[in-house]
Amino acid sequence: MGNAEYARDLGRALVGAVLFALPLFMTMEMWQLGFTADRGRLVTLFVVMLPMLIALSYFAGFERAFGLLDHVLDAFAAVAIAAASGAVVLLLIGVLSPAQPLQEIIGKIAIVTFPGAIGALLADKQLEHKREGDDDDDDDDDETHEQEEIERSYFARLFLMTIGALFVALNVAPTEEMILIAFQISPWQSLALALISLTALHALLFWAEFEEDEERMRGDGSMFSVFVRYTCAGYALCALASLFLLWIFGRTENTGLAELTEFIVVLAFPAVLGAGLAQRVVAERRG
Amino acid sequence: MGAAGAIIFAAIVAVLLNNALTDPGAPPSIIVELDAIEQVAGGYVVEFVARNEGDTTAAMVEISGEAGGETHSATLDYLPPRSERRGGLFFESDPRASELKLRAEGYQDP
Repeated sequence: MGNAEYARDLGRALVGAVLFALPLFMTMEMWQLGFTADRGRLVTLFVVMLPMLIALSYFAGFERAFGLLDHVLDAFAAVAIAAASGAVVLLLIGVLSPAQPLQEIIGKIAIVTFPGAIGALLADKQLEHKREGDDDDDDDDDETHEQEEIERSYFARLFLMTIGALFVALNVAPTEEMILIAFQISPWQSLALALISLTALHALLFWAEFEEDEERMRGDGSMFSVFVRYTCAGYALCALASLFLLWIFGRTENTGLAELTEFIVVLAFPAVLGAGLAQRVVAERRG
Repeated sequence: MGAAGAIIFAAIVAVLLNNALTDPGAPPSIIVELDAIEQVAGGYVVEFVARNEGDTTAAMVEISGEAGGETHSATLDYLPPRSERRGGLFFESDPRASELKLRAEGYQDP
């Protein structure tokens, strides 16, 4: 692959990184998190983020890659692009200034890096025009076919749901509105929200899928078995992802179980939308 | 995997349902306790823990402390039921010298 093409890929990745991190750039709580977030927890976010990005690179890769090392490098490249572009944008909008303590600067950049890295990795899918005259067409077909088989495996789908959930939830998790919603609604509304989230996830996973995909997902099982295997597992992943993010942003401290559950249910609602649509977004190339 | 998911969902529903059915809806009932008194720049800080024993979330909770003729206050953004939040009050003279009274002054519905 030539340098010109690589530069184009890089440019696309840059745009993707900025686009995906944009809501977070413009969020007040995110700016404050630079100095209020627990350092250890931010590190945990980073540590969890890397394997997920590597796996996402396998599914989405912003460069034709042929081995684990390539995916690792792609993931790190995405992180670098996201961190660099994040720093530039934050400087531009005055959220970051050289006068701030280093810890605050690092904290702010760290938070926007995760969604930005996802954006960089997916940019290849979203913004790419059909490539013409690709020498490796035949090899790619074989690799694509095998990749498609794996993409349709159970755990691959679950993984994609998780990363979709984490991505959407991360954009709203730090905000005050999240907990405010939980405080404002009655327990019955929380319950309704949980049930509606589950239903929405089921709808997004199955009614939007192509017929052939649905049959493959169903396998020999009944609709109920699929509901349990995909939708229930998917909601649980969204709930766990929500709990994880709430913990990262310090919302779990000293809070009663019922209240914490309401936080989870409120955050799981957008997470579910991310989970339901994740596969669609990543798999567009197959379309 | 799916079974585990179903169990987690059922657990969430159980907690919410239990809360919905047994919640008496009592107003916020806030207890403020002394955590520690430390010497800091400008005087002393009284670190407190505020706990909401009621069933409703209180917002903009004003916590005040009185000792040795001084009264100071701090505001907590949100204090959900069965939860606690921490804060501190700055005093000029040593609050340990006289009886320290800590209380919640008021709140707002979120």
